[in-house]
Amino acid sequence: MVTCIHVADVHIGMSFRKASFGNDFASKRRKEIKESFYNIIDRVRDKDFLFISGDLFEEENITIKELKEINYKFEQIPNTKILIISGNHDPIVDNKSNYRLINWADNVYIFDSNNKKYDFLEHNVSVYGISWNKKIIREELIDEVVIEDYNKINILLVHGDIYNKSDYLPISKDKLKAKGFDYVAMGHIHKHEFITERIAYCGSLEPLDFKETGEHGIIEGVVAKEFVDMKFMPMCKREFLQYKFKLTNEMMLDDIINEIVNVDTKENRSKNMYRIILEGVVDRDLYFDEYIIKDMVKADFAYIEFVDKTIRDYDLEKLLEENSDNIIGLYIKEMLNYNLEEEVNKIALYIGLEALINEKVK
Amino acid sequence: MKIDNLLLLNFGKFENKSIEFKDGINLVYGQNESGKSTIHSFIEGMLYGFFKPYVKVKSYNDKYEKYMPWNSEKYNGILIYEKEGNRYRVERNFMKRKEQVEVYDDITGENITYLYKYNSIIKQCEVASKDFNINSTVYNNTISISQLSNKTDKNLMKEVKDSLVNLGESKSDNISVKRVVDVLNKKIDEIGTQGRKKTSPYGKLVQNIEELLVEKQKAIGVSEEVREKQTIYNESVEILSQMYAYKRRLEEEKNNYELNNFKYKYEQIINIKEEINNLNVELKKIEKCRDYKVETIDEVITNIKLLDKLKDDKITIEDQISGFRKSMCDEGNSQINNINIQKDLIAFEALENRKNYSNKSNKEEFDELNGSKHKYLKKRNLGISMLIIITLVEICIKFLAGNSLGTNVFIGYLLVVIIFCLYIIICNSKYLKIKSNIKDLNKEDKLRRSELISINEEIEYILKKYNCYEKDQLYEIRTSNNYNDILIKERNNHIDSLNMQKEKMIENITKICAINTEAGVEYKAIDDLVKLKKNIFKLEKIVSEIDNKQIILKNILGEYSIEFIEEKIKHSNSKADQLAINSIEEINNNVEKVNDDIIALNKKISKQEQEVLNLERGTRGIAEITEEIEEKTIIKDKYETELAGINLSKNIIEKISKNIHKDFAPILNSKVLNAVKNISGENISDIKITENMEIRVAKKMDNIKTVESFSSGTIDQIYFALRMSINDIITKNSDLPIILDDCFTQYDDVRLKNILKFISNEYNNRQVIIFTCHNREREILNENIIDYNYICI
Repeated sequence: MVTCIHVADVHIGMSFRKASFGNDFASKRRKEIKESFYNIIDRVRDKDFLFISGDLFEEENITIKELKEINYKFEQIPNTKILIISGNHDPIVDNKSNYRLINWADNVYIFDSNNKKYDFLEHNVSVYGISWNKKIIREELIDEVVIEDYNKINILLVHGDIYNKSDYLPISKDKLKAKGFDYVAMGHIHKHEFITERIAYCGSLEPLDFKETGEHGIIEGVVAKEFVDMKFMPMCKREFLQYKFKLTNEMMLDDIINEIVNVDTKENRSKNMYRIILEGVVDRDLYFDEYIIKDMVKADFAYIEFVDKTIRDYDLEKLLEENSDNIIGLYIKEMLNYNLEEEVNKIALYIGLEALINEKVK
Repeated sequence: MKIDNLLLLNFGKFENKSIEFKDGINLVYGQNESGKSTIHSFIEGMLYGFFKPYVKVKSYNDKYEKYMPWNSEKYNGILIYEKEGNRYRVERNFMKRKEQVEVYDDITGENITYLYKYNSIIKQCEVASKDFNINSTVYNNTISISQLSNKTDKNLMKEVKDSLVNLGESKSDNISVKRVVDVLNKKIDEIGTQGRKKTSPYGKLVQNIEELLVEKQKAIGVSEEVREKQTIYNESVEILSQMYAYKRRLEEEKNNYELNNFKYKYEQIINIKEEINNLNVELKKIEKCRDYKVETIDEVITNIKLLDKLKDDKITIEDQISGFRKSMCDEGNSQINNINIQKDLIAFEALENRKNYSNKSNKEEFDELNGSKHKYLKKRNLGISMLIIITLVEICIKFLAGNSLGTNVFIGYLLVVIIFCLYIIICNSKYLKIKSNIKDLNKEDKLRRSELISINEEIEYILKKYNCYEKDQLYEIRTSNNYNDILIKERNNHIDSLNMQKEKMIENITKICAINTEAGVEYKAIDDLVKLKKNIFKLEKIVSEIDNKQIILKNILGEYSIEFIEEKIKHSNSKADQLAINSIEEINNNVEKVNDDIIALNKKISKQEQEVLNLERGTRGIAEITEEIEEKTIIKDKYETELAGINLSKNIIEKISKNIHKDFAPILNSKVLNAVKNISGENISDIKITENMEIRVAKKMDNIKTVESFSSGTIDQIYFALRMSINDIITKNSDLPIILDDCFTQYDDVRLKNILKFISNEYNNRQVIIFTCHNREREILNENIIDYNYICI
């Protein structure tokens, strides 16, 4: 039997587009992800194997300096065998691919089109691995994998999609089960899940955007022929949390700020990343938008962002009724012909209306 | 329609304050801070509540808080108004969460709140909806007029003009489309345009994004370059490791060579050491001879030899002496014999001489003669043959030639024959002579021979006598006889000297023995001594050999110690093998060269490494740049959407306004004109409203003037008239009360009188409520006998 840690989708060096972090926090987050990974390296020091199931880093963004750093860390745990497959974000395409630019330490074993299997006689283990060599794989590459010796502990590393027939190495669940591997360390899906006792996604090590709420971490444990004891361990430094707030037009700015700050404990606030969706109706004289509020609360949070879905309180029907024969009414009538779901039209309506009404109310 | 009563139950500073209004002019007098504005606002509050208009969710405006009583928990009031004979009592509780409005028919007491339009947002009925029919905003801008006090004539007319303009464009007298558009334009300016890169946020952002895109491209380029360089670096590292491998091989070779050398040395050393050991062993064996010196031993040997010799000599001498003595006995005989032998010997010799002489012979002569004989015989025979031949020839010739041949020939032939005959004869005679000589010789020879035989017999006789076979033996006998003689003589001498010697020898022997004993050498056999001497030599030789070998050893060792060499070779078991002498040079050269190459390549490699690091350091990460681009693009998009929205809004507003202007403005103008015409008592022949909404009035017999050129009184009137007609246009209602709050403070008396008269005339069908803090209004009204209702706060 062997002790091991299964980790994947670390995405060192990735740029956070969807998470709308802003430059400083994004850089900080990138650093945190790297440190999180280094913690895993420390943790796996007294174990036999570290399986990295793809997307360890972002091919376009990682620097040689960082690669050397990672390799240095690998060198510090010479008693652990580190097995890596490449994923769709760090494919090994040619000799200029980042995996080939560095002279990796002796305990690092990287799978590619020439190396699809590594044997470790002292542990009685054979590890099979399918590495990516382009950005899209539509073929079910699992079909090509065949176990040579069923007496060994056979482990497979694969980075693909077991849920959908997508462009990212689709895998048939039944076919995979039928292969008879003692453990399949999967990568690509960022949410951890045990498909069966012996087939699992460990999920991304740290959550990468607001869709990835919930716990993130690694899978660690023991793999043997007779039994398998692999468990999910939450490891991430921060979680993504998303909340919806309903505002009322009675609320003043202070009220709103208080509500927001009270969304979680101070400890959590200093740790996690929050997105707050503001809904409801807001006093039209209350001057705020996402950025202003963010500015006002950012000291209380490690990271917080807002989505403003509030409606300024204009009673359009009433307005229309009361101003049916002047420009305000005519304007509203005209604007109602437009699709108000579109941001442009919405802005036109409210800005025009605001200007007209402010004129009237003077 | 008119307002009958106000009952401020708990409102502002009032508690249970009741005010009654009447038809016509109501003058409410109160000093500053007496609460006039409170009452004014009360009316508004009762009609509308203090809610913000145009809201989706109930919210309060400022006045709510302003008039909330401090000391009471109640906040309420009652207003009673009358229209067309019906009295309506409005009861309102302003307090938040308890707010309520009920309207009662004041006559029947019936709750007729249901008759009023229900506003679901404020969850109350709208009091003004039924009879007033204007909202609070319109109310505040039309029938409730305040703050006229600061305005000059010019401002008044401007206000009218603006109102007209606004009406003409927006159908709302206070919405100036131009201002609205200005506001929108200002918003647009604040965001900016793409063109205004330096000053507008939008422009700056667009430029920023462009710069970032360039930076990103550069960063991608750098990343590519880094990959290239890293690949090259890796290749260099590979080459370097090969160089190191090669260097290691060379060093191994060198080590092997050195090792080999050492092994070789070591073997040699072992050998030499063994030899030295052996020599030492041998040395030990003959150690003892160190004690002896060669010279001494030589001496001793010599002495011993001498001794032996002396001893031998002594014995010899003794033998000799005895020999001599013995032979001397024999000698007596021999002397006699000696004489005899002498005699015989002489005879013998004589005989021999004779023999020799006889023998001496003729042999030579004989041979000579023989030779000659044969010679001449030969000659003779030759001649004979020749003669025969010539004769034959002659016969032939004669036969052949016949008789032709002359006599000469015949003579010739005869001569020849004669010569040959002579020759033959001579030879023959000689031959004969010789033959006779030979005969003689033979005769001689015979004689001799017989003589010889007799000599030999005599010789034999002598020899037999002495028992010899030949002459020499005789001689010998004689000699020995002689010798014996001498010997005897000598012998005697000898014996003497020998005796002497013997004495001496005995002396020497004793001496030598003494010396030997002194030298400490036991009387040994010479062999032993010789051996000893040999040993001494051997010892010396061995010592010197040992020294030599030590020197050789030292040379072999050179600067190393044996332990050092042993250490060096201890791991290797194989034997030394010979290498070519000059390979070490080659190896060293190669090592030097590869070292140089390694240094150069190391420099190159660290340079490459540094280049890669510098490249990476010189730009921001692609992730960062991308994020900034995204971030800014989102803002830019937002700006753009906003700009689009604002522009859309502007367009629509302008479009609508144009339409209004097209449709409504003419109507408005005519109404306005009518109103102005009605006011002016003076003859106005024509009124025109220009495009700028300037009103030009043409009086009879005057030129066209603008309204502003009229007197202030006229202007006031025109203002009010216009205002009211505007109000009426807007509200479509012409019997609403007019509420004037502190309007005339700045007016001078004349103006005041003017306007008051105007109002009372013009609006005699409406209720007019005037709030003032002066007494002048009262006075003027009194003076002009205008009816009014006086209320003092």
